Amino acid sequence: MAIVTLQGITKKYGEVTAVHDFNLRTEDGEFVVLVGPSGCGKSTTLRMIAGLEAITGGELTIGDTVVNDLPPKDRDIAMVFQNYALYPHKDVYSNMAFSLKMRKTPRAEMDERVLRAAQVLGIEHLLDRKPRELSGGQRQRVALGRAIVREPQVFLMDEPLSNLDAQLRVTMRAEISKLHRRLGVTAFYVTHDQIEALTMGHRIAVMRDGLIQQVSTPTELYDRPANRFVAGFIGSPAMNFLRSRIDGRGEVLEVEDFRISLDDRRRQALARNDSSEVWLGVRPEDITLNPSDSGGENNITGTVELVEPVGPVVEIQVRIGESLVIAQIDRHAGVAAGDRISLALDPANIHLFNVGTGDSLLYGPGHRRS
Amino acid sequence: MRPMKWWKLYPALGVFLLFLMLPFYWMVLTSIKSRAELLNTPNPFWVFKPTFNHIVHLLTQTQYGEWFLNTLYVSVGATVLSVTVSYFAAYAIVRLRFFGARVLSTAIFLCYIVPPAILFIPLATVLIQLHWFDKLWALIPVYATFLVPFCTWLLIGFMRNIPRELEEAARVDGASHLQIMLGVILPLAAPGLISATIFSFTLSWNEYLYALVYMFSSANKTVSVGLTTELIRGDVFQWGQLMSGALLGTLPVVMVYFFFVEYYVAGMSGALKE
Repeated sequence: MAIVTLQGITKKYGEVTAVHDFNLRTEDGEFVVLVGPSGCGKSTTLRMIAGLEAITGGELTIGDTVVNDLPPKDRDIAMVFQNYALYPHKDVYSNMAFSLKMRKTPRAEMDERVLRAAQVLGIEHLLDRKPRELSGGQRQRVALGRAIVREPQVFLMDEPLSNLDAQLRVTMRAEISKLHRRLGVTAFYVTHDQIEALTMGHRIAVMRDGLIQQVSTPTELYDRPANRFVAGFIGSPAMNFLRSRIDGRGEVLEVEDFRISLDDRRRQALARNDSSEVWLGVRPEDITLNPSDSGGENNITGTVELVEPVGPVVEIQVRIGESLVIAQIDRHAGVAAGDRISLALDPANIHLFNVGTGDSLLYGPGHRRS
Repeated sequence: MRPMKWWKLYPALGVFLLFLMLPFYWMVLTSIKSRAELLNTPNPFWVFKPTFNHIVHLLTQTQYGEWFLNTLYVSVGATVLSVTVSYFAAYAIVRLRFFGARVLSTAIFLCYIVPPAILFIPLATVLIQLHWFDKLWALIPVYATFLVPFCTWLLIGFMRNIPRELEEAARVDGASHLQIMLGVILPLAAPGLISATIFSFTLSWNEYLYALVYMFSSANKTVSVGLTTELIRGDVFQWGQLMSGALLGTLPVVMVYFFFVEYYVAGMSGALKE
């Protein structure tokens, strides 16, 4: 176990900056998820922690040691790769024992540690098999086993579940979380799947174009996104964004032909805006169906274009002027495509983003609660 | 794919087989025909009174045994040297990502394209300077000049298909470059290495030009050179002995192919898939 500190970590490939000024300090035993779209620098960051990529700038500390110039084997880390990277010519035992063998661990201790790790993962009956004789899930377990057998200080995982089918992914997700709780080791986990990030991470670092957008707990990230990118990336279906004009007194937003009045907190936030327009963000579950088409404030009216029952709720796409809004409504509401309906936005869950920078007026830079 | 109709497949295969086997059949036939039957026979495609005289004569009256051992020595030596060097070279080019690796891999391939007929005169100068002329072992580094580029190129293609993560996993596990090369990559590169071995061995075994030019004493000749220089005297072709010698000479190559043909195919497909 160890605290990992990334201070101003930067990676450049020639002129291209892959990761810029990455700052993060983990707690001891924390599970940190790096999430973002492909090419955002999350894997590069992980590989720099592993020592597989050289660090261009900044300082990386594991425990009390600055490890910038240490090779992977001296960093006391273990890594799980997306394609498992099991040695195909070695059986499961030898795969798991490889790192111990490289460290010249005595045979008896090696046997004991491999067996213990195999029992934790429920693969002790597979020890004499070759990787090609295993299913995807079993291979994934062996890859995890190979990592935990060494009892490293830091556990690194690079999209370990993305080669599994959907059902197995959900099972393994829970298993990795339980395994982590049991081992209590500091872990970094890279994924592009926001559900994985939300379910597994103690804290989540959302990245985009090599820059950290926000580092927060799952709840915080969902409730208080710091900018429009985070708001849109976290949550499925994604948050709706409506471009709005601010009326003269700064109290009411005009969206298409509708007027949305704001609470005090949001009015104050609007005062900090530097333009006459603002992005209004609202999550699909914060939109409700307004049975009586009252046409009052905070109501918007539009035509239903698509109705998608997804189980507990129904997702509807509603055309409102130029914009398309997705809302989650009661599955018994009886809405059909083509209907003209009225929707109410929950004023307490309205987000506001600057149209230029995309920063949240409520939770963006300078407003973050520490 | 639907299975092909037999009458579409077998006639074509038959023609192919005939094409491949006819020279071999002719070789066997000639080596066991008596001198009289060679020159005068009612049916040239059959032997009526087989004899082993040519083979016995070849093995007892000429230095064929010595040539055979020479060829074996040079071929094995050149193969071991070239495949080893090529493996290290290919690993370095594919995995170490050093400056100029791409250019180097292209340059290596270009080396293979240069024909021996252009190289043999400058190479002769080099051998004379080094006092390596007419020294049998000198053929080993000489053969490496065309084997190393070919094998390196073949192994580069092969090793590009071995996932990089395997090496990275081994690095995280604490293995050194040498341990990775010998313990992790080598077993996976085996089909490629076997292809390279077969190729090197065959090319060395059949090599003619360098052996002809650089080795002149009879004791240092290889099979291909020995047969054509010692058994053809002026315009007298000792066909029976020539063919016996050629027949015996193909046996090691046939055996190498026979044992490794499956790996060989796997290696070739590995080299071509990009």
